[in-house]
Amino acid sequence: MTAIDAPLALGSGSEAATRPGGVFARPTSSTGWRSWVTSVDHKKIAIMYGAASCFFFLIGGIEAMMIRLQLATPKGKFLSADLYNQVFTMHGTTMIFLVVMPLGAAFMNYLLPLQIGARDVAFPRLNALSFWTFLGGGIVLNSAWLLGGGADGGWFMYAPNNGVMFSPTHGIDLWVMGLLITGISSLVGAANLVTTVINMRAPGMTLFKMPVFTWMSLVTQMLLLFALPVITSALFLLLFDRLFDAQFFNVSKGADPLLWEHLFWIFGHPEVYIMILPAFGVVSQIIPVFVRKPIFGYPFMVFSGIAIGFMGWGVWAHHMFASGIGPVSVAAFSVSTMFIAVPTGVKILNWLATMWGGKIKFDSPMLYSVGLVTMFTIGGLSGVTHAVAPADTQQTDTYYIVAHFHYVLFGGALFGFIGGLYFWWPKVFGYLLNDKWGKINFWILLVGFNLTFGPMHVLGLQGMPRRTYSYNDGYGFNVWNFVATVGVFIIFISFVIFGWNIVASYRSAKKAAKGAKLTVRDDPWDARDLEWMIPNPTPVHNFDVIPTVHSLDEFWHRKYGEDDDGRLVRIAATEDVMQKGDATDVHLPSPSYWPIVLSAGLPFIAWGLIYTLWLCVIGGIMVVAALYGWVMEPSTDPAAGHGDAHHDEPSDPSGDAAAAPADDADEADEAASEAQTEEAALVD
Amino acid sequence: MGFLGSECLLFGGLISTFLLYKTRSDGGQTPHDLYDIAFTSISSFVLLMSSLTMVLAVTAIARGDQRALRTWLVTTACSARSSSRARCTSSPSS
Repeated sequence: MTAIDAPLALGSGSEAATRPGGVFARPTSSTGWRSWVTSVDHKKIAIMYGAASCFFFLIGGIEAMMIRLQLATPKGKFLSADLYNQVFTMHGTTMIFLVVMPLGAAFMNYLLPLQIGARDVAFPRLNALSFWTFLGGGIVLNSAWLLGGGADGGWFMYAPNNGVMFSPTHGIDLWVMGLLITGISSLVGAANLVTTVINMRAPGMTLFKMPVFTWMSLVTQMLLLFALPVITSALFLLLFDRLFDAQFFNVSKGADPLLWEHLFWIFGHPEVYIMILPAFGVVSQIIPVFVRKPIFGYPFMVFSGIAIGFMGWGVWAHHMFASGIGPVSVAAFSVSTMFIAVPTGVKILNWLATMWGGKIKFDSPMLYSVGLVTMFTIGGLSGVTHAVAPADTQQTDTYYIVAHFHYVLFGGALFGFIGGLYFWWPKVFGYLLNDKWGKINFWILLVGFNLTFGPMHVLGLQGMPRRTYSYNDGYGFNVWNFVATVGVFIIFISFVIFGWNIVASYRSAKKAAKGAKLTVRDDPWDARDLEWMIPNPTPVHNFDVIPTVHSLDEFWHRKYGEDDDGRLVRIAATEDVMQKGDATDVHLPSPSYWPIVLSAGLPFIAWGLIYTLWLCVIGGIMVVAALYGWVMEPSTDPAAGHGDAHHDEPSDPSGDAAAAPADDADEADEAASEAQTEEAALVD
Repeated sequence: MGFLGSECLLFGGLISTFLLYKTRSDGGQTPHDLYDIAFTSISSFVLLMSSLTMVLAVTAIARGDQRALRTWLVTTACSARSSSRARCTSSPSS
């Protein structure tokens, strides 16, 4: 893509050649908004994922503050019961599907190709499609606020409460359509990233030389690949119930109310690990850098992640201990749930052992990582108390559960991601975030977080039910509810500081750069993995030369060795190890209009199914036109770099494989075998 | 492989719903009224075989064998037609 960037321009391609088949030209902008909406560059897509999740985080955060304002005092008058139901449902759904998941996707999109030494993902246009589809789904979901009210059944949307009889507005319809569309996005992304990790690793990078983050992302994407179809089938059934008068969940007509619960939680529990594993990967990258030691027990880290990935499928019914599923099921799921704490405990032990005896530097990324380890441990321990079925019968549907999952998702996933933002910010944007403000941000967030969610343990054990919009004076809930409400505003302040830090650091970096392009000194953290071997911010073509990997922590081992006494010694200066980022004529995937056109059609189909089928026609035309455009656009823009100067560049018959591992495969053979698989897929 | 597994779980959700509700009905048609095992089996068989003939056609053209390509493509087209006709006639609902 972006062949216009000076070092990459080929110079010899003629303008007319951009439409060699006489059909659709590929866009060529490399600057301005067009370069973003047509981009297939994994780095730009990752930034857009991050920006979109920040936007949805704002929405979800406002909803959270509304919830806390309503509950600050007994008999709160801020929201009506109906509106309260909508707000907590949309808060949960937004935070899970539109904040934590895409934030994970942002990190994976940016880092996977860099960590495995690739120039892009396996299917760059599909990557753009996943982002735009996700955005479309998020918009459909939140459009409910403008179209008569949000969904109001809780993020798990239990039957029969999700039926038209109990929820006559279109909130749940839009919720279903929004989640179906974001599901397409995640599924496309999963197929893409799994293929990327499996097929596009740099020479020498065996599976067990991959960084832990890459491993955790791979496990996450496999989980997505298997979990999403289950929720998709459940959502389809619900869609037919609500829009076409089917009776899958209508208990008065003899439907089984447990069907939805089972389908939902078979998806829902792997989903929990889908959210937390990328954050585990992030801190597994950060901690070794700031203690200057390799990760303790790398194989254990990897295998415990894989174990979580498998065992995550055998614990779903622990969400249903109170549903009357029978003593045998309860006992079995109780045991399996306790058992899944073991691989998680292995991870926590390994992080502690990595830190043990190291010279720990408490820069902001490290603070957040330690924050994750401690806060997640609290949440993990309360999770084990849910596994004990008799205790869970007391805790279920109380604020104790709310406390638990906020400790693992906010204290776990979000702390890890914010640490990751501080850590990789210079890699992405070319300037460091201010460390002093980062630390202030951390401590305020930690205090606010614990003030908000810590008291919920007490409230829950006192018996305050979850999802209640009001409580009476004299129940003993007043003090801790008020504390939690104070806490949420402290969290708000900490995020304002984070935002301010981003702006202020940018301004001071801009000033220091004196009009030159922003850049950070090479390898600012003395890091360990391939992504730091290239300049900051990442050049558009990632690697000048695809590195050959010899060991785990390849970059570190190129910088450091051991002397005869086993002491760490520097064997090469950083600037000698670094790539310069000045390669020219690198073959990159060309940008495309079609992913955004295709994605834009889907929300119209969604709204059309609910309101008027005419909108479906518009959406359908957009989708079909985009599919044709997609197929017919020239596979590679002839004006783009061809990689003639680099003999390690692969042949690229589909135009979608930016940097498949170099091999001597005959181009015709490759095209034929690809055609074969495509045909086979068509016949199916 | 992963993608087949993904499909399996999608249909796993739908099929388990079918199995759960197989014997329940709100007074309407039951699966017994709707599905004809013999026709369904035959059309599934034809459908699967058409995948096979398509793959044979692809391998034929990969070898450069135009004649075999034509034979297998025609076979695929015929079987696709017969299976879709079988499906139309086998559903007595409506």
